[in-house]
Amino acid sequence: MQTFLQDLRFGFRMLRRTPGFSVLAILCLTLGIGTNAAALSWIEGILIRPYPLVAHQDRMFALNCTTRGAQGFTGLSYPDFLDLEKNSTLFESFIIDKITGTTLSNGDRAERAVGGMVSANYFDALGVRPILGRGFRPEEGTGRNAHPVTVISYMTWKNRYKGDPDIIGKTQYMNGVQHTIIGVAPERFHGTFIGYSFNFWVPTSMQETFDNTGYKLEDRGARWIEGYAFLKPGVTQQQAHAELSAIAKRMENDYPQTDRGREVGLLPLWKTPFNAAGGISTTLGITAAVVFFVLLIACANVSNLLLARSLLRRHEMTMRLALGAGRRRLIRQLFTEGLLLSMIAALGGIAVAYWSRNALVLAFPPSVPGITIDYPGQLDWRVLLLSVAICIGSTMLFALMPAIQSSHIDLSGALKSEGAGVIGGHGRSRLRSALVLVQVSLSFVLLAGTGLLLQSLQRMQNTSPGFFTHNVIVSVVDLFSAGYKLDRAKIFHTQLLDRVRALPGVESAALARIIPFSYNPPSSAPIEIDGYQTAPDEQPNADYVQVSEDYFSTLGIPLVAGREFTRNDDENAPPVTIINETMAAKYWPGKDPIGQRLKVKDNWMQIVGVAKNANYETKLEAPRSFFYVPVRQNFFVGNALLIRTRETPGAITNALSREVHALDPTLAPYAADRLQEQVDGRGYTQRLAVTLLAIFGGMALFLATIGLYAVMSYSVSQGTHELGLRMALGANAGNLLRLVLSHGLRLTTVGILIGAIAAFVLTRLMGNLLYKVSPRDPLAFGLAFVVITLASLAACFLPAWRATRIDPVQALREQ
Amino acid sequence: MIKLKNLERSYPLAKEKFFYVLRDINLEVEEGDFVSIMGPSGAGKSTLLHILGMHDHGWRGEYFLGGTAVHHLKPKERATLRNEQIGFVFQQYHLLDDLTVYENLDIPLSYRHYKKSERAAMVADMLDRFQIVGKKDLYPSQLSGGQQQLVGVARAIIAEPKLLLADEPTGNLHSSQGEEIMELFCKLNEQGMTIVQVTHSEKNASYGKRVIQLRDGWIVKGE
Repeated sequence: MQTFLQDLRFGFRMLRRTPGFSVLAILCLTLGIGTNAAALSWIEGILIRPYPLVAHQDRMFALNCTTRGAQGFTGLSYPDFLDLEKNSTLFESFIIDKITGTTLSNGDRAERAVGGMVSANYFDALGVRPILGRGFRPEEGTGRNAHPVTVISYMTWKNRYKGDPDIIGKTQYMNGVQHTIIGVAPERFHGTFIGYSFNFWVPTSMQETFDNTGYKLEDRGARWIEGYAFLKPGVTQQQAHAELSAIAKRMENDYPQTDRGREVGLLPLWKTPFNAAGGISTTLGITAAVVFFVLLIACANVSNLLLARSLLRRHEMTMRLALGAGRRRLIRQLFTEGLLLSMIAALGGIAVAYWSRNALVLAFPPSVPGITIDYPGQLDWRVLLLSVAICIGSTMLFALMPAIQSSHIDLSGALKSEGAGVIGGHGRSRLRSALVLVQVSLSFVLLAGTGLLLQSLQRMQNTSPGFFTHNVIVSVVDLFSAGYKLDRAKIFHTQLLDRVRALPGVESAALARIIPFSYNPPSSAPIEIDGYQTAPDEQPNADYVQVSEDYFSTLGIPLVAGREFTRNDDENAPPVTIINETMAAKYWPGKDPIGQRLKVKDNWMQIVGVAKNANYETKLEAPRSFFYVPVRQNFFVGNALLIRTRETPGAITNALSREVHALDPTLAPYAADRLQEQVDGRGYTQRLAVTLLAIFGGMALFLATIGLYAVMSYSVSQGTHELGLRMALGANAGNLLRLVLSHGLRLTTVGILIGAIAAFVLTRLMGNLLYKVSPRDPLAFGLAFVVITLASLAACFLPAWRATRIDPVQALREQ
Repeated sequence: MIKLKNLERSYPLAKEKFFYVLRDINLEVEEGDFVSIMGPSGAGKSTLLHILGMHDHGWRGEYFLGGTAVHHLKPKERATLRNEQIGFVFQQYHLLDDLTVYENLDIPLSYRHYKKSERAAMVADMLDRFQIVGKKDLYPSQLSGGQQQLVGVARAIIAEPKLLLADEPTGNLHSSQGEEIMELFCKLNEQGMTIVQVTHSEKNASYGKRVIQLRDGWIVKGE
């Protein structure tokens, strides 16, 4: 310990004596350790333990409900959820948390608010105690619209209610219903939905008030529930999964009409399928690998700096050995000095991580007023512990090799020649070159990865989703929150549609229950196909959306057969539907589906058209069965307005406001936006990945360039005599420039070759982030090659130029 | 104290050819002796001294130090023996630039695993003995050449070695400082310390009891 302290004290002194070296080394390491700590804090705060204040997150799992043979999460019905809860023995609790929204009036303006419909046991099961008032009571979870109570978030309490200490018992209109505020959640509790910070929570009994698709608490076919389960202590995921599967099997037998083919499983929180966790986990995984590369490059840089400095300290090392220090003792001293560097860098790195813990939000589209995008990093003891481990690990990486090299001293030769030529110069130079190779290779991998993602993003932006996006504007008038009932809403929407169609510059307009690429999923239901023989355990299922006449012409989705919906396809007409090409090919292969029938919720509908496939939620989705039904035969209070026009969103908002006011002076539409914004918004995972990789790839390239520059600079300064001699023998500036540049470029070329091989292997791991781009895309690899070559040329040029300025007489005399 | 038998030191040249720095060295140094090794440049004086100091391991022959057969020891055992028995004084002083005088004296003791309290007492004693207490917090660059060599000698003997090896200890000092160091050596020798020094100076050699002349790697006088 005493020796360690002595080495530490000496290390501090050395840092002070060489401030340039110290600052550069600490900056490199701070960058390396800081980016790792930040990435770890994101992984911890978003994926591993995303819910501060929630106890036992290690036992918390997302309920994953799927349909056999089909891809993707499908939700759970409320009766099924109750059956799971009742029949399971290995679980401590089940909770429901279904994202919902409302409009809160704030003086003369309306603000969107996002919240959760949650089971009554929500706060108790999570172990979160409201700071004011209470959570929900068991009886508040049941009874159709019987308990209009709400718990508000700390942020809502502070911002909207100015931290009113007497808030409990006050009321707030939400979706036309007066709700009593019964509690205020703690400041650090933002709900259990990755991506949004919730403003309020209401009990499931209020489902109908917050869901414009109707009452679902008694409907086993309506699968809307998203939720979590807490395992009992000691129960493994496999055991719990087996129990859920057994219960699901029993439900399948008991309720074949609705539950055939239904499977229920558990997923860890970082794979939660119904919030942003699943989408962002690959990105964060790649980020973790990338920042590790940055750390390796930073370590290689510091290692190079230490190797250069060890030459300056050769006399000291020789003397220490001559005075009795063993090699191990010397290595320990140099390691302690390295540890000191990385400890200071770790402090800086943790500060970097602290400042950038919420930085991911910056990559997301600007949020709507009242809605807070939430991707918080978490700097807890686990992250700090890992950062310390990274700090020690990186010290091993960057300090050990130079320390071992420094301790290899020919003592007799060193002492006799006053320390000159103490250490095998060639070995050291080889090590320095090897370190540069590592840096160039890793940078190449990162740049190739960035190139792939950039191309992927560009292709995604340039690929049509199957409908018009630029000249289609979307807006919503929230009739549901304004308390409109079905009949009144139907009249309002019909009149509004007529008025909008008559606006100058509007080519066409339509209604749809949900906007394409919105965060609201389309409706999903089991279907029955007339004449289609299902396999024994097959339950045909498809997503659909309710749309008005002119929907296809407004969005520019071509019909390959049949007709569009008309205004006459209303509740008095026979039910009709339009299917997409995939559905036609799956259920009517080789046949004309026009005139055929399909059944949804006991309703037989006749197919009147076949539409071209389009993307419905993201551009990455695989083609799937999808159909459209007329909104007038399936009306809901809340609908979105789609307007095809050449006008700007601002002009449309103004015109729309006038028309809405003319129909109902108490209403105002949400600001209109281009459909393109909506589509771009859903590409956030790719954009985030590109942003992160570009930032970290840039850092890596910068560090590698500095590393190459340092090696070349050093090599020129060490070779002054040789270069002077060459000049004396007749070499001109061009010869010397070529000599130094070619040495640097040889290193770069080998580094690029190694990097290209590594990138061939590693970029395959990016598979599901890439869109229509091969992981071995030659353009991305070529781009990385050009960028690294240019950076290398820049790094080598200054030392090469300096070589041409050497005074041969001076150089030879000094030798 | 020291016995060398048929000791040779060579460096490989071309195919199976060697350049001999020391050839067939046979030498005995008694305990309490004060030997000066002399000879022209390239005679092998410093090489012989570094072999005695166990800094150089690439020699052949037999080397006994106080009865221990050094030639049978592994490098690590040689380092332990060196730490126990030998102190070294260099022509260039070789003080550690980033350590104070106090720390320069402390460092050999810390490598020999003395306890902190013991080290403090030994360093204080040495500072007192060499009358450099007032300089203990200065760095080598703040001392004159003579003062630096004084510290160098103090550092060499602080761990109480039996044998002091000195490689041109006054080579970088002016005459009065050189005399001061040589008198110090005499005093140490009188106190029982065996000293072997390499020197070019007849005058310095005269402070010793015996002179060994080396030429082209051979002992030509004083074997």
